[in-house]
Amino acid sequence: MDLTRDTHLFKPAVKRIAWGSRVQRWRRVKDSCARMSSGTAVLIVCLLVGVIAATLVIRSWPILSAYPLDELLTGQTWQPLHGRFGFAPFIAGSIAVTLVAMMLAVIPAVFSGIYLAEYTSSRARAALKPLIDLLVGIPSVVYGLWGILFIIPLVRDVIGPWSDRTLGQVFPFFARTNPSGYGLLSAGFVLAVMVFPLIVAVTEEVLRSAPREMRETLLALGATRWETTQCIVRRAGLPGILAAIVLGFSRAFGETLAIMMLIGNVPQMPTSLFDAAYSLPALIANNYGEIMSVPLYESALMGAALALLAVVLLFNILARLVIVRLTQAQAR
Amino acid sequence: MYALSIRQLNVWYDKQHVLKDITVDVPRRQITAIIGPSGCGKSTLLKSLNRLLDLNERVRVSGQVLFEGQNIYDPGTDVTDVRTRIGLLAQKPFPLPMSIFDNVAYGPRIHGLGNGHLAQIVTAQLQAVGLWEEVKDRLKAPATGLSGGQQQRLCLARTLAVAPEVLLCDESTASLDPISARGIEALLRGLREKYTLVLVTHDIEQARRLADHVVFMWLGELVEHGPAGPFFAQPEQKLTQAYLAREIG
Ligand SMILES: Nc1ncnc2c1ncn2[C@@H]1O[C@H](COP(=O)(O)OP(=O)(O)OP(=O)(O)O)[C@@H](O)[C@H]1O
Ligand SMILES: [Mg+2]
Repeated sequence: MDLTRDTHLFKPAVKRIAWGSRVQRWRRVKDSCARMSSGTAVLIVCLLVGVIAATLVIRSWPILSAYPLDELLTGQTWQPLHGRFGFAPFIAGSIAVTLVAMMLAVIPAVFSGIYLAEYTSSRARAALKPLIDLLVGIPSVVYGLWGILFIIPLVRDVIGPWSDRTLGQVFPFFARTNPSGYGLLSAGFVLAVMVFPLIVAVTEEVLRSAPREMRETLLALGATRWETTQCIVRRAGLPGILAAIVLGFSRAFGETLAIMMLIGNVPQMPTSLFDAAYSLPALIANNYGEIMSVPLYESALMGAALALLAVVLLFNILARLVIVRLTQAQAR
Repeated sequence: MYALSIRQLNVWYDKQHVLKDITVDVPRRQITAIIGPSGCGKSTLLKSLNRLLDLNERVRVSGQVLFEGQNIYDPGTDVTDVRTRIGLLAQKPFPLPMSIFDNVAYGPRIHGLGNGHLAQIVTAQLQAVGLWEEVKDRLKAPATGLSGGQQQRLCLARTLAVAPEVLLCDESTASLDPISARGIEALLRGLREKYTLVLVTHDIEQARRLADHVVFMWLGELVEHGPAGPFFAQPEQKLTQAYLAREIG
């Protein structure tokens, strides 16, 4: 075919719209609006973190300057009326109850996530996922009540005596030090139930988002379901699963109400799973607005909030570093 | 004589009937090419041969695929074993997110092959696909850093490392540049000695160059099949003639 003769073939079918035209200008306006508004939103969030941290530092400054930091952090007596502000029992209580919860929740939650992502049919998944989302959304006071009605008697009448008779004979950590049932184990158990669905949901999401080709490739090499899952978890899922655990940790560490209802609220260093303890958020929630006439009391509570923020921030930064390292190592 | 015998195979995606009563035999140690226009069911047919279709819950299969006399769709079949013996090379190279060495070693490792001489297996397979010289100094480097053609050869080495009997290739040269594609073609031709090969291609010329046996499909039906010589020289069906003359498709 002689193309030069059929010149109509070369006529552009669509007329180009000049860059200066109204349509094009409107597109550019929309583009820069989107950029500016989303940028502003990010800026506001960053500012918010800064403002919160600054407020806490300023308001807790009186106590931070009145006592040396190590005395505040390691002091074990909390007697505001006598001017003694030891945060150690609260920090220890918070860390202990979070650890108990994570010990109980992480492994079952990760495996549930794996099961949902790799082994269920899409119909079963469609039925189970809303259930898990529902669990995430239940208010903590409901979890707390359920703990009081169900977990406390269980720990008091069954788990406690049993543990005391068996493990407690060898390890003081498992000795039943407190017959009421209110303590680390009960609070940790309910906390575990609270973070469980969160970790399940994120783990499932992470594994689902692994490339379909990866699953196909592994199965086509004759890998079993479990081998495929292992490889996907190790090579593609680990950073995400870790992020899920961090999310669960932060959620557990900051939980206030459910813990307050179950931990016993005794400011002491816990030495046993059954000890009553006290958590940082509970300290603030129980006391703020009360005997504010005591000098430095309010400032001390602000210090507790600052400690809470610092621990969560520190933990998140550490985890972020691990995740970055893992992601880099996986590419290799 | 035949490695695979497909008997009245039907496949549905939900309600859509994509493979209709396919009956054909795949001769052992030869290259069988499946050709046909886009969407006619070539990939579906290929994936039905090592039960990779099972991954899609919406797929329904009826009929039989006899592999060395055994129907792989029998309820008692060990699917893992089927997939080990019938390997698949995908259209787009997908290096696993691990090192070059581990990519090839993965299969032998899970199957417990070559304890102690894993390195020899990896070396041999990389040599077989002509990749050894290019990667021998960076076996520990991530496989994703290779070029497309290198990746596809790595995937071939990885598939061969589990010692399959049948090799299925789904347009395995389609995403490559002409030179890499020719390289893969040459490799596949060389593999005919030891393996039964089934290739999907929409490139008629490639089928002419490689195939001993051709299967032509159209809208989910098998139109014509037979040895490559007569098939290309005197196709019987009008549809085949038109397709080979590029009048349709
Ligand atoms: N995952 C899927 N879900 C639903 N329908 C599908 C799916 N995969 C393929 N199909 C349908 O099955 C038919 C055959 O598809 P198949 O991928 O086997 O074609 P093909 O011959 O390999 O085409 P191509 O040459 O474009 O790769 C098509 O009509 C397609 O729409
Ligand atoms: Mg295809």
